[in-house]
Amino acid sequence: MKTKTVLLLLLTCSPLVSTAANVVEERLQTYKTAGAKNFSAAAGQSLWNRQFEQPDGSKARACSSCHTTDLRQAGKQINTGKLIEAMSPAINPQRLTDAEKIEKWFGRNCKWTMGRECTAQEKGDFLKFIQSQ
Amino acid sequence: MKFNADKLLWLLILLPALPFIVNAYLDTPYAPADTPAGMVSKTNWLQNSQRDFAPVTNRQYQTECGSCHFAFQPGLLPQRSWEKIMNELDQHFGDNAELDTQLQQAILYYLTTNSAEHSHYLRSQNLVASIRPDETPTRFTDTLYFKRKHHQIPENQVKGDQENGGFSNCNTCHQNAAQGLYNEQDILIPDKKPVISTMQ
Ligand code: HEC
Ligand code: HEC
Ligand code: HEC
Repeated sequence: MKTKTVLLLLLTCSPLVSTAANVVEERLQTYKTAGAKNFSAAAGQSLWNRQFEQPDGSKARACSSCHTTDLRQAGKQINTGKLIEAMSPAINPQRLTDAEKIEKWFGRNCKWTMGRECTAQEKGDFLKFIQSQ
Repeated sequence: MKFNADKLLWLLILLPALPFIVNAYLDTPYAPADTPAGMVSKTNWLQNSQRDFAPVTNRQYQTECGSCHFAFQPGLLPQRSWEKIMNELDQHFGDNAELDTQLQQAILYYLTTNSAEHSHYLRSQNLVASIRPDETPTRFTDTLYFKRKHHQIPENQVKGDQENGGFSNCNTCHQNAAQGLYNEQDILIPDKKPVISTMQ
């Protein structure tokens, strides 16, 4: 009987291990060891909406091109038209719960949008911003 | 059941492994009720016999290659095409779809072992036959096979159509494309009018 109780308790607790808050906190710690500090949602927001001119003359790109400026709304992959679900963890609890996924998309999206990798500082600011929405 | 420290210890050791075990199970072809959009949810022989292309059965592929667009069935292109696509993911049709080496290799393996020439589906075989041996198309929509099947649809109706994303989004018209079904009764064009009558 008691073993069952323990089992149930542990089972119900285990999903807590990867909530957005925990994963973001762990990411921010990692960025700090890379020299970043004082993460700011406001800085994240302004970078999110900044339009980056493209060297090849194609249309300027921003994070908001696909994710829109309102993170509580769904966005759209501008190259394919596919729907992208809301980025806000409050609306979409799946968001920011997987460190590998976050880094994968930072890798692709920073390069595609800004033409370079994001710095640890920028990533931290982005996460703060997304989390606050 | 009697409770003792030994049992608790085993529990503590085994519990953290649970997500990995479940994950390993999910990586193999599967069909649970909460199937993500685009994956096969049920299989019965009747549906199977109507399928045009073998549906996607690999969860990693579905997740990674279904995030920006419809996850194309492996049987829509020959092996050499998949190899080319998978080897230039950072320059992917004007987008960046790069993966870490391990995932890239796993997905490459899935695609090449299930590519059109390895599929027993008639359409895949016809598709392979329609591609010249010296050609390596990276778009299914560039193949003669695709063009033959879609020549009645005015290109300007879908090309550059920001709203619906052009021909590459098979499932905007083929409502059951994710199940590998492309036959006529399932087709709707983006303006939501059935097109079967005008197309025939
Ligand atoms: C060309 C379209 C596009 C642009 C531009 C873009 N993204 Fe994304 N992003 C996506 C897609 C598609 C996904 C995967 C969506 C999904 O999982 O539903 C994604 C996912 C993400 C994720 C992962 C979220 C999670 O935990 O599920 C983060 C973080 C992110 N993007 C940040 C950014 C930032 C920062 C920028 C600007 C530098 C940006 N994106 C620009 C298309 C884009
Ligand atoms: C970051 C976004 C993104 C990801 C991730 C992505 N693709 Fe694409 N893919 C695109 C875009 C953009 C196009 C061009 C769409 C168009 O022009 O209609 C495309 C087109 C294609 C086409 C050609 C479709 C046709 O017949 O016209 C194939 C095949 C393809 N992708 C395979 C893959 C595979 C395999 C993966 C996984 C390794 C993948 N894609 C992941 C963005 C992406
Ligand atoms: C703009 C809408 C549209 C899009 C997008 C589209 N199709 Fe089609 N497709 C059609 C129509 C309409 C037909 C029927 C043509 C006919 O019968 O003459 C068709 C026919 C087909 C057929 C032949 C079916 C049969 O019974 O002979 C196949 C296979 C097919 N499409 C595959 C695809 C694939 C794979 C994609 C994505 C790469 C795709 N289609 C994208 C509209 C579309």
